[in-house]
Amino acid sequence: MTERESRTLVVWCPDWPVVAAGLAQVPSAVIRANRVVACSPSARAEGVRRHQRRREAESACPDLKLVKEDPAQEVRAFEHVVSAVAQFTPRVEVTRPGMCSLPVRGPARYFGGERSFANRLAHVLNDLLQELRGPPCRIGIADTPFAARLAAHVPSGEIVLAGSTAAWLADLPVSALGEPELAELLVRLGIRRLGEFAELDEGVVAGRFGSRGVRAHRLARGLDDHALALCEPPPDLTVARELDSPVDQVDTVAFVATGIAEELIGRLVPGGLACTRLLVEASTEHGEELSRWWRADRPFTARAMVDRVRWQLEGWLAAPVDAPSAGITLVRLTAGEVVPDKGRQLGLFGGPVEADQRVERGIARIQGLLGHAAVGTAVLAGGRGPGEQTIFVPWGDPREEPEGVRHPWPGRLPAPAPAVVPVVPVVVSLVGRAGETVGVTGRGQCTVAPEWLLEPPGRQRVVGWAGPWPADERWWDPTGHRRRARLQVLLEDGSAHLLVLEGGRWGIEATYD
Amino acid sequence: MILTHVSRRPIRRRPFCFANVCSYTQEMAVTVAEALHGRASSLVLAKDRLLPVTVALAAVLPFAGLERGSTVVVDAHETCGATSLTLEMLAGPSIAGYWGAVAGCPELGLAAAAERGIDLARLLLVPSLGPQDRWAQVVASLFDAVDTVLYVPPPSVRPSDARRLAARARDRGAVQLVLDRDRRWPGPSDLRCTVTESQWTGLSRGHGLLSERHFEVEVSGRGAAARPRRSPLQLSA
Repeated sequence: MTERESRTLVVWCPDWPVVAAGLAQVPSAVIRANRVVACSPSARAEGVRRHQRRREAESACPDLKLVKEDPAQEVRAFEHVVSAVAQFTPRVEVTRPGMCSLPVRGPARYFGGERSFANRLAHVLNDLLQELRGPPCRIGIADTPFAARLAAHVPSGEIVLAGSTAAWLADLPVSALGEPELAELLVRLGIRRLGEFAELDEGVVAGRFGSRGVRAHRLARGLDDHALALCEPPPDLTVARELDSPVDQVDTVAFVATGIAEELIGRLVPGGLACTRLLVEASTEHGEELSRWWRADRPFTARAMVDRVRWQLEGWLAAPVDAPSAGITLVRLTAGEVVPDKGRQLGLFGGPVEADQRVERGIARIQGLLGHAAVGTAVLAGGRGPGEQTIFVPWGDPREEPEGVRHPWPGRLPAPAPAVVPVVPVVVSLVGRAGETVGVTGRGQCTVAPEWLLEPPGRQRVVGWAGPWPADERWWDPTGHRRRARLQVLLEDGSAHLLVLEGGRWGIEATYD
Repeated sequence: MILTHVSRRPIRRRPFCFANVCSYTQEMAVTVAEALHGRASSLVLAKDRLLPVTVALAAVLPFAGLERGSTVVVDAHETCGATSLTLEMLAGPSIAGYWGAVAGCPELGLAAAAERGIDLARLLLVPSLGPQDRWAQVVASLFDAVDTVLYVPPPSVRPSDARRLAARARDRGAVQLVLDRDRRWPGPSDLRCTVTESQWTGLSRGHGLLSERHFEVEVSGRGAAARPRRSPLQLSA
């Protein structure tokens, strides 16, 4: 019944998101949008299931350790598995982190049959997974990727013999198609098994269910929905060049770097890849080394890479301490993160901030002088104090608005916000007419009207004041709990300040300069 | 006037034929374009190089805008308010979509900046200017990158550094906003804005809230601003 003579092997590493997070040995679950996307075997034994709400999962297993989904980390960790598979055959296709497939005909012939190849592969991968403390992988082989995927989900995996894929599929329920809406409809029509669905006429299916139905019908008949798109595993993404004689001129190094960068780009381009994170390493004749990661919000061009090398070396050579004592003998570029190259697309309305090239180059130069985290932008955050309402985000890191920005913050002062917020509050004392320190009662009232602000060298009369605004923050958290009260004061010299009382001491938290 | 200039150019006599007419017309068009180009580039007025400012500030500044390439020093004399005035200056260009930067001023209240209308996504922050020998390089890089640069010069700023930075800003067409709270900027300035009086309204003893602010700002400098001028400025919350 197959249209082409092909066999597919699928490797499935169960619970991959949990394994990638390094939590496969303890009851744990990975959460996305408040739903469980994966859980460890011990959590499953306690009743945690996929698609559960976070609260349900926590009530099923009280010591459940929850982590947020981190697809990038999953892919990075899965790279180990993929490279182990690529030792056997270069034609690996990653379906998603935790699952990859390969055409098995060639390697099976080489390793003496599908079963012996699958055993060898499982042996190597299970050793690797044991290091990562994950459960053993499962391998399924069938005529089509779809069937092989289902075969891999059978406990301990299964090898479906060539030509019998449709028969093997026939007994499975229609929900195995992975199309819940279609499956529900089919069940209501009295079609419960894939075999029954496969017996329908293709034209009838197309007329009733459209193209998605036809695709599902092909899968159910043991046919391919698409040819396996093959790609070679990414080549070694590090390019290094030794310099014959040590170089102490940045321009000369930059000239060498041009060649390296073009070579690196040349390795990425055939795979349709682009690099967004770059490691620049340089070492000198005396063995001093400098390496720094560079990240860009757009893929690096060869020229941008050279600029990074130049800026980094300029920064290094001009460093007051730890400047290199000899010429540079080695320059190495490594692509740290590769993404499919979608071409360069400028953000339009509401899109992410795309700095124009001028801004980006200026930023990169400052990063070369002062370090990666020295330049950034701010995002608004929730919080009551004037210094808590914004968060500094280094350039290149994702600019995400934290949770709770739009929530009401009782105890936050209304506009205007103070223009000067010292990094450390200045300690002062605030006293009433008789010289007694102003306190704030449990009901949020001042004990006496403030009259004088004493700042060590002198004192000033308070001509206006408002408040206090009490803030009892994080009372549920014994370490983070803070009780504060804020007071707006206007002094006789016309300056206005925001005072804060914490632990019986007043401080100038901000100034309305 | 442009055309007279063109007609004075010697015309080579050629025997009449259609191709010659075409080539002559083409030649003339090129000359006109050249002449126009020359005129146009020499006729960039100061007002064409202005960055927009907020309505409140337009009445205070001599050209009702911030001139590209200029150095503007903001300070306060025997009162406070220099920081708020600088934020107000930064707000106009940011609202109009230009990029800004704040350097060497970690204590700047960014919530206040956002309130004034400054887009935090287009405001680069360099909290620390770095070691003594590098701060000028960092500021110069910012002139290359963005349109308005606000910074607090380190206490030991030398006149030579200040002069060089002013020249660099002029060269790159960036506005250099120097927040000079201690009044010791040793370099040249095209405009010096000094808060001479500042008054808050809205707060009394035990009630009310800081709401409106009345400034008196003295603007002095070169050219149109050579004669110092005092004007009122009102900033509301």
